[in-house]
Amino acid sequence: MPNDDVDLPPGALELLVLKVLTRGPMHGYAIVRAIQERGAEPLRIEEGTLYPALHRMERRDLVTSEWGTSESNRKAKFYRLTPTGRAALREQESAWRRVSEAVGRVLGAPKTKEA
Amino acid sequence: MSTWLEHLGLFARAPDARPLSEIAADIDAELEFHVEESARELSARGMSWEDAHAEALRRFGDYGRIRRECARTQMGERIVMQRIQVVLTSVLIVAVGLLLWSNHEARAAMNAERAASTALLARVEAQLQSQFGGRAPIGDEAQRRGAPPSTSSTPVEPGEYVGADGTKMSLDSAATSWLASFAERNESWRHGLDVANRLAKLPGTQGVEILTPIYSSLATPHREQLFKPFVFDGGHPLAVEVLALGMRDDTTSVRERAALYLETYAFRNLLYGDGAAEEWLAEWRDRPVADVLRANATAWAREYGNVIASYRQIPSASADTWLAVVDHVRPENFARAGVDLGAILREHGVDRATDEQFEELTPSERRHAEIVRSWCRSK
Repeated sequence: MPNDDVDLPPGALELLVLKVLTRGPMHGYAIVRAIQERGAEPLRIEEGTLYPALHRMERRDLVTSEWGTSESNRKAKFYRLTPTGRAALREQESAWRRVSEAVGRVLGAPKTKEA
Repeated sequence: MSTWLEHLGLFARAPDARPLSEIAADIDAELEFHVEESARELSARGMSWEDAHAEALRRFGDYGRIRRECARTQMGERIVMQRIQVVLTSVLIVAVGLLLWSNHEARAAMNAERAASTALLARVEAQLQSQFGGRAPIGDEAQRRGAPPSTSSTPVEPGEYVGADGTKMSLDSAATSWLASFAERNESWRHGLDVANRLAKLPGTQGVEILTPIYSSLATPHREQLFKPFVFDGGHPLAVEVLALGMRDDTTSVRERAALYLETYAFRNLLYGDGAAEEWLAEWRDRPVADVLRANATAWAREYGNVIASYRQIPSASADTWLAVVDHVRPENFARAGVDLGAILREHGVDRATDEQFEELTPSERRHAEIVRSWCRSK
């Protein structure tokens, strides 16, 4: 059975994290679910890779974290977007769109399967 | 570029101050929460807990690798800082070690220099013993040559000498103390001149007696300077003795200075011409200074009369070179030795010959001739 999943391009995970965190503070598991719910199903995301990325983003002051209580009443670490993170999101989102459009123009319209 | 700056920013932040075990526990709690939540959701969809947990771990990825990556991100800078501290501490230890080592080396070098000085002084003492063991010191010889009695405020008994610190001592001890005084600043010609000034002012001929055995051990800048106090201000009774040391010096710059000062006594430059200096010194070195001055001035006056009278037959350059000695003769040395330079010159018709030929002289020669005229007028 062919596997249609594709690997997440470099840098995309950080952009996705920044984007979903605009909805408010979230723990890591909720961030993964939010990404998948917003249409990232075809992207193959090794869920655990989210955490080193989150920790690096925290060191760069893109996000902050604090321990809180989850919906299941368990101790969880919640991440929140910082002003620096919001600025980075704007830049990265804009850059991503330009790259995506440019690549799309080069590739042209998707081919339809012949009957 | 931005990545590089971001890395800088990362290291600019204060490291997490919590204990490493606490940071590791936080990482574990965060990752376990994710796997638990994932397994709980899968289980809620009908999977057995074991299968749900296994699937959650599969989706999570390599748990050990991810845990290590998180730890590296969180603790990496702490580890880097600790490594920097270790490196800096090591550098500091090495620097302190080098400092102590160089200090030790400097002390060793100083001790070696002190030992060398002691050996040198021992050689000087031995030289003094061999020189003066069975004969009268230079002082007696100087008195015979007409040296004036001591005008020093420091009365000294026969056989007593004044050391560099002003105390009375034996000749060899005095030589040792003056050598040490010179050696305090071997690189400074001013220091050498200062010490030589004090040495030349010692009672009677002590300065020369002390200088003679230590002369060859003195630094070149000091040897270049020490003639001045023995020649200037009327000159020392044994100035020729001191200049003889300089004329036999191995260093050209010292010989040149000695020859220049010796012109006061020889009325010519003895540096050039094979054996001229040795021949002159052999004849005059042991003679009373008044005899030296009178005889050499007389010889020059006699020759000057001939030169000036036949000026037109002598190439100008030759006459000027011959007259240039005038610049270095010190009339005050004649006065101090009781020799009437003006009378010697007049006796040999120098004044008359100069006046007759003055208009024929070149500007440079006229300047010299004016000096000679002033000597002739002096009493």
